[in-house]
Amino acid sequence: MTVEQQLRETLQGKTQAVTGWADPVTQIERGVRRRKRRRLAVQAVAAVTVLVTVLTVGLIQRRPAETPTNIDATVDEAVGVPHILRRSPRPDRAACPPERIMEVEWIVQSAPWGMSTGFGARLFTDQRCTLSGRPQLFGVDVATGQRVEIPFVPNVAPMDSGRVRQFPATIDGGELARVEIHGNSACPTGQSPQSYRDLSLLIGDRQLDLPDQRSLTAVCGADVSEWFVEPPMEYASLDAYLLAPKTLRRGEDFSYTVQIANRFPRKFNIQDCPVYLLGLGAQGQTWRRLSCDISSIDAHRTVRFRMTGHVPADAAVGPAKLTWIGVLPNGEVIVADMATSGYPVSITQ
Amino acid sequence: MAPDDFAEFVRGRHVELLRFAYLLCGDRYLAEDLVQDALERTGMAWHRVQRQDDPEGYVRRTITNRFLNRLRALRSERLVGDPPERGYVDREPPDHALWHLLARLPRQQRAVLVLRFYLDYSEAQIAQTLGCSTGTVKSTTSRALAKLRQQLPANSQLASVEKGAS
Repeated sequence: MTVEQQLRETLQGKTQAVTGWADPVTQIERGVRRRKRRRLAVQAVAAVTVLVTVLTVGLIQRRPAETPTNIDATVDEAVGVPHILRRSPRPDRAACPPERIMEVEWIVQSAPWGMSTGFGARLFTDQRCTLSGRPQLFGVDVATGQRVEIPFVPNVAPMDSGRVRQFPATIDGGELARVEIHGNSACPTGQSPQSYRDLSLLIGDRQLDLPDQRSLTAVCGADVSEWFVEPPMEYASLDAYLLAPKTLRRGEDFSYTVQIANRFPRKFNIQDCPVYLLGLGAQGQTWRRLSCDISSIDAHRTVRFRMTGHVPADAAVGPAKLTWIGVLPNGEVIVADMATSGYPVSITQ
Repeated sequence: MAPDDFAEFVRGRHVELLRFAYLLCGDRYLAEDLVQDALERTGMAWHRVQRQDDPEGYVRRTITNRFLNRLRALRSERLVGDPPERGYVDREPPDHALWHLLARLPRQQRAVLVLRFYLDYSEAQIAQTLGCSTGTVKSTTSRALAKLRQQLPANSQLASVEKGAS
């Protein structure tokens, strides 16, 4: 049998095990409705922005259909943090078997706009499953030496509204299911605070220790969130790269270029110029809107935005990564130098 | 909500799209994500897409492009913290020599072979789907098949020996 024949046979055979969804129409329609709501919200913000600009300037510039290669972009302040399109919530699956949970990790996840911290659990499995509900928190009471359940107190600290969460956590093997824990230091009158060490989470019938022998000091219970995932962002089909000086000085402006390439044979319609964030390492600055003259990037074309950045006066001296993330009106993101997590620079006095 | 024919399209074609996505990526859960994403995008643009000759081709192109772009998405979600001490289950497909070899091909080569030998696309159709020239399709196909031919004969012989022994 030739390799071509084997390929046909193998590919046909492999698909027999693939089955369909129970209710595909509802599943997809829900996702479409969600995207349409987001688009309306974005359009409303854009309309307000245009209205404010008209009232202020009294002029709207039409964007030409063709795209120049080099653009000296002017920059305005952003209207606000843009909405970023993320993976749609997944349908619930069977409950994750507790014995498949590897361990609980302390997660520090950096992004240009800040840090996400908390605890996460990964599964040792090839089956997608769902972790739902709230795990119970246990710890060794420092006063008595007994391992006890720490009382649950709701709404101790509001969840960081800058993070996107989907409940419950439907995850594949290796993906993180997240949970947040906050000790309650506001004890009711007459109740003495307690301290606990060697914290652990009870998931099903399995006790999983929190890493680094975590403890809670002088608390009256704790708020434990339900399991959630932080869904990944949706990326535009564009490549982006930064060009900047290798050495930057604190407190000074610098010129840099963002190259955005459309590798596909079709025009990429960006509708409007992106909102972007230029960052140094984990130190994000302010979201800004590019005022450019393009509404699309032609097939197999690259657009270069020549821009100006500023190094904060208190930026840490030494090696750093310059990062740039753009968000299009539809919420898709463009991340420059994704493969290297940014453009390496050195910050000097 | 979506017109009735989009619902019919989803109901009637989602299984075949799942199969196609599975062959592309070799992972049924990633395949579900790819198809969900592509169908949602198609639903958003259905009035335009249904006027084209081949709405299913549009969805397949979307699935393929999102698959080829996915590596970049994974790289950007970087965790800074202690790595897990144990690894998690490798998503290698079940034992099958050619399937294993396919899984190890670069994404572009794998995509070309799936489009050619599962969907029976012509070179022009593959070129349009992947956004490259027919020349690139020819050379990618040729390199991918050469790689498989190089590695398959040893596996085929091994399979023959095992059958003979039983």
